[in-house]
Amino acid sequence: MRALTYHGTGKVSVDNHPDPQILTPYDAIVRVTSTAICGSDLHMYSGFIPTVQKGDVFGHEFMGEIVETGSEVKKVAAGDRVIVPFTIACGNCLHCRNGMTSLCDNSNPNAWMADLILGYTCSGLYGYSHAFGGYPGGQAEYVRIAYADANAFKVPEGLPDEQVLFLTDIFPTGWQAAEQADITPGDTVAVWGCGPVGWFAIQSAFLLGAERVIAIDRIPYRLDRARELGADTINFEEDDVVETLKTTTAGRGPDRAIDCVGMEAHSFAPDNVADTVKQTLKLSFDRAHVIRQAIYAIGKGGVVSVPGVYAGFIDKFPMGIVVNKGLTIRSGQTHVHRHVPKLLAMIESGKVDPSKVITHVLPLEQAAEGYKMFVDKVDDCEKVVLKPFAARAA
Amino acid sequence: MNATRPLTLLTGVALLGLGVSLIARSLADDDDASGGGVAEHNPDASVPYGRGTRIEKAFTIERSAADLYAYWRALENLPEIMSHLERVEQLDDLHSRWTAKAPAGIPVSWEAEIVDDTPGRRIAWRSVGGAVPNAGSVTFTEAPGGRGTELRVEMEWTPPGGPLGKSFAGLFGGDPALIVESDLRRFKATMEAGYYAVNGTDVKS
Repeated sequence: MRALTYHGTGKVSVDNHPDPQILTPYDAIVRVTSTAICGSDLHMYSGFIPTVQKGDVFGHEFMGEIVETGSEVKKVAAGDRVIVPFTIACGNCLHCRNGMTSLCDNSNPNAWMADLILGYTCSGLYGYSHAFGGYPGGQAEYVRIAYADANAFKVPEGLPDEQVLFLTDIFPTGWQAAEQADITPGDTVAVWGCGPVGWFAIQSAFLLGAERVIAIDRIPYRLDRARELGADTINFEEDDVVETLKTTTAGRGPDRAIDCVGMEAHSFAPDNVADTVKQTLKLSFDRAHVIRQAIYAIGKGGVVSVPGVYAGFIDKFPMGIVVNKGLTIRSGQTHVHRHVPKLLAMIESGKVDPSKVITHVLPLEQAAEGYKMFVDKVDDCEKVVLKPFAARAA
Repeated sequence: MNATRPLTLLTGVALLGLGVSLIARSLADDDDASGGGVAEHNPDASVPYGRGTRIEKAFTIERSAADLYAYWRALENLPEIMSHLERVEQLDDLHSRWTAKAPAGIPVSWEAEIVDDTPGRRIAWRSVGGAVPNAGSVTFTEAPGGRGTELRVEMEWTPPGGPLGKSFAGLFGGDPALIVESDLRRFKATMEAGYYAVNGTDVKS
């Protein structure tokens, strides 16, 4: 089969790989109809995620049709059209039973690596480094699904791929980010980063009762898209974020802060310049400017919610501000499974139209072009969807 | 950016691991129960007091103590759990013959007897004769607040002399503590989810 393959920093191409096989009685094979490039793929593409190896297949936002199942798979069958969460759940461990599927005890075959890095392993992820399981990813024609009964969600035929594809990651990720910010009526929510996760987080914040959302980015077309959703915006290259937030909230500061940026913050602030040097020298994996700024800018007693991906240790962490302002920090990889039913209902009722995040649809064969476009932010690129079988169907 | 190079798997883990171990070292006391310290006194042990190597590993499993006990008590199941075992044959209710996967072509076999069998709570065994005097136990305790069952495995043995002793790590195929940990992790996944996780790309560890 054909699959997007990593060959080193900034180098990917679509290559031949063996077709995936059923490896356990609980597996299924999915023929991918749509798959997307995620902002977190760019962290790997840019060489900032440890334990990514040359030859790895990326991709954790994918859907398609089940073509084969193992003997113990009961809930889905060949022919079913499914979406597959990027966090892999065994479905039966304590964390899965409690709805915290990204903390699954059992789905990471390389648990020893994650134990070393994190203390305790979390769930395996598709196409996201060997420490998170070494699972071949979904930017491919076919993918092997682990624990298929727990991880393949049937979707209604009436909804096109473009509507339901993002239930695999970015819609639930934006939703969970807003949900765990504990938004209450009247709240002002500041969202750092207007990429696809920020775009969903802004909508989710409004749906959860935010009075006002202030979106922060530096790319004009992303700020335009945030304004279309009803958010006010700050371009951090033009205005001082902290001062602007303080003034516009009449001295209260935002009640909630959501960091949809993570480890590759862009800024010429001194802390970020230092982080960039360390990251380039591999002394650190993370540029942590946004989380520091969010902690400084948020109002007293606020909640800082962090869906953005960080990989390792950060320094200059303003713990004194967290303590003195009485802040709460919430984070986590997304427990996709528990959000899917209610978010699917929102799509069906027309409350949210996820397809509007898509700016580019390309055949899988042009995936490398999609990565370049997304990382360079050219042609107003916000979200790239890849079609593995587009060329053959045409 | 062109000067940067992608991290290899091992340097990535090593770099993060270095940070973790620095933190862990600054926090830890000298307790090293998992790494093989001096054995505690156990009147049932075949391993002379103070001379054995000891491993203790524990996992919490979302199954009843009765289920887990039943699986372990059928000793012939143990090679399914413990990757260093070739087979266990039940001789009678209390006696069994254990055969390890041969390290460096040297077959290792010994007879074991069950010295404690408390249904649903504990099984303990010790070797009777053989080249590798050893003893072990597994206990099943209800975890607090309905969090499943705590399974705790303790194993101790006296490393043998001669060529077998030199390659004793070979009996397990690596660091015994890590091997047992990874064996029990697969057991937990199998009991909870029907099968342990595999990815088809990395060698199982």
